[in-house]
Amino acid sequence: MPLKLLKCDQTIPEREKHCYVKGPGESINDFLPSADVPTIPGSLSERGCSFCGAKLVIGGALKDTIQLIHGPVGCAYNTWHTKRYTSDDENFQLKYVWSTDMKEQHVIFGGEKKLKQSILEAFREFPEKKRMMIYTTCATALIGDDIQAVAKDVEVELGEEVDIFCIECPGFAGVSQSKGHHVFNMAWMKDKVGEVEPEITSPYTINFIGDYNIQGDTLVLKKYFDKMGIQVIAHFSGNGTYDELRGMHRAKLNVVNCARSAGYISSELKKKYDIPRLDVDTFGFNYTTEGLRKLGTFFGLEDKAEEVISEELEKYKSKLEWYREKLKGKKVCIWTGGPRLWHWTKTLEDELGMEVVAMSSKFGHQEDFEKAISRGREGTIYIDDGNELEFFEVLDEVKPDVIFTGPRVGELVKKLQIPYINGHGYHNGPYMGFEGAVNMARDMYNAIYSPLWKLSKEDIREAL
Amino acid sequence: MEDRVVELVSFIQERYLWQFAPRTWDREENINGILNQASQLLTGKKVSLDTPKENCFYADAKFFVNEIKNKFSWINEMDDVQKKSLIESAKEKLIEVTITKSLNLEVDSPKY
Repeated sequence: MPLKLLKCDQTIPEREKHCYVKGPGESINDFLPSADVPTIPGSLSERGCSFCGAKLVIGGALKDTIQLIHGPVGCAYNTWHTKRYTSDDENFQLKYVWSTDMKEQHVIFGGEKKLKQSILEAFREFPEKKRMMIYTTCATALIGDDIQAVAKDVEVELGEEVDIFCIECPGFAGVSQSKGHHVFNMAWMKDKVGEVEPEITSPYTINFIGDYNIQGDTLVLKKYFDKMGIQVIAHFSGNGTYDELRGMHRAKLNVVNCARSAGYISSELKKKYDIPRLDVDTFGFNYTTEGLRKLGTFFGLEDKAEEVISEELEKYKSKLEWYREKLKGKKVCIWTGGPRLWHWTKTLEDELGMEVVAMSSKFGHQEDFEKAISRGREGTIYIDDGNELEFFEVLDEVKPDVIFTGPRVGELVKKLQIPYINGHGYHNGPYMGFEGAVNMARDMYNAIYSPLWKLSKEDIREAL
Repeated sequence: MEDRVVELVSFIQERYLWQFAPRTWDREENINGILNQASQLLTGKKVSLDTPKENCFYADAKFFVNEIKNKFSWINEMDDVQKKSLIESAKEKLIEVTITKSLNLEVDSPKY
């Protein structure tokens, strides 16, 4: 089965290039969905904007940095608090958001004065914070406000203890949030990497790249690294700090989890500083074991890696086996951003005996589909930039038991009595590592077996 | 031998991220670097670990060799010439799938 035109897309036949059903014996050389291209008019995309990719995904996870959004107030609210990345800095990054609150008068007369006032006010109100990121948005990019010049002006005024990074990536910069990831990666590499010399405490140093500490993911993995004696110079960017990211050039290895949002900086670090790039999956027992073994080999710490693995298996293996018995044969959809399609599909199938029947990516590139299709099963539906009508049609066809997706689509499928799990922020994470795999299985078990589904199907109006 | 190559390539496609690096030159470098070391490991030769890059290839190659030796018992019955030929053919096929016949429009982009 090649590319597929869903019934709901009859009036927008261009959507056929974005939907693929894997047929027997087919390879990624036969068909590959179109991806990372502009949304087709008529299709109500669920993508985020490019500014969101820079701020919400990457910069916003830093635990010690004021995130100032130069634009109307909505740009701040809509990229705040929707991602559950916690930190060990009292969740500073989740508690606060800063906006220059642009109004019509600033659009007409320019917003630079307002921006300078806002920067100074933010530093004044948070005197212990000395690091700031400033983002342009559609409005301020269109009127041409020079945020770099304003930031330099403030840096001169406040002295050397203050450091500001500017991200010029308005919402319209690209076709989705993916462009924001790219702009942030490249700008940070160009402007900031190499500015700080980190304190080296171990001969074994890594940057852990493309992990955002969703509900504590980073902390789970850090526990393993600590036990192996590996120093993480920079977490890009979950539970990370501004200055640790300025010292990324000193790591001996880049360990990359989310290649979509942070592959760029990993590749640039390889090119400029000769730091090799090791791509890993961090979800599930098999992948976590694989990643730790590879790290152990790289540093000659094989014994330490095996110790961590056997300790964790001892704690969690029987738990995962219990859930496997409950979940095997259940059908699941993965409708998330991009990389979780390929991170999760084989883990759910191999370790829990589930069937991944449909996958959809909001902002993945064709590289993500190469990985997802190669790892995915035959008969599975693969969609790029899917919309709600397509999702409803796919649901009729594949009849899943549970869906990983965001809260918006999740609320829709709940009305059809299909359980969903937050595939972006998780229900009860962390999901990474050994304990994360058990948490993920538990969330699916709770979702599928909840007695509430039976009750929710009853129409109580008939009883009245 | 042809069936063995298909089996091995299919396993690699399903399992490893290194073949799907972002650009043509990264893919080629990874496939050659890792599989050359795998060939040496399979045939009992010493691998060079002089640079960080080689060390990284070794981390992937060692894991890969252990996996295929466990999964495909027929590899252990091959002589060194057959093992080398198997890996060479797998390399050629992977280059074809991920580079020369790739439908990914981004792999040839000159920048990251």
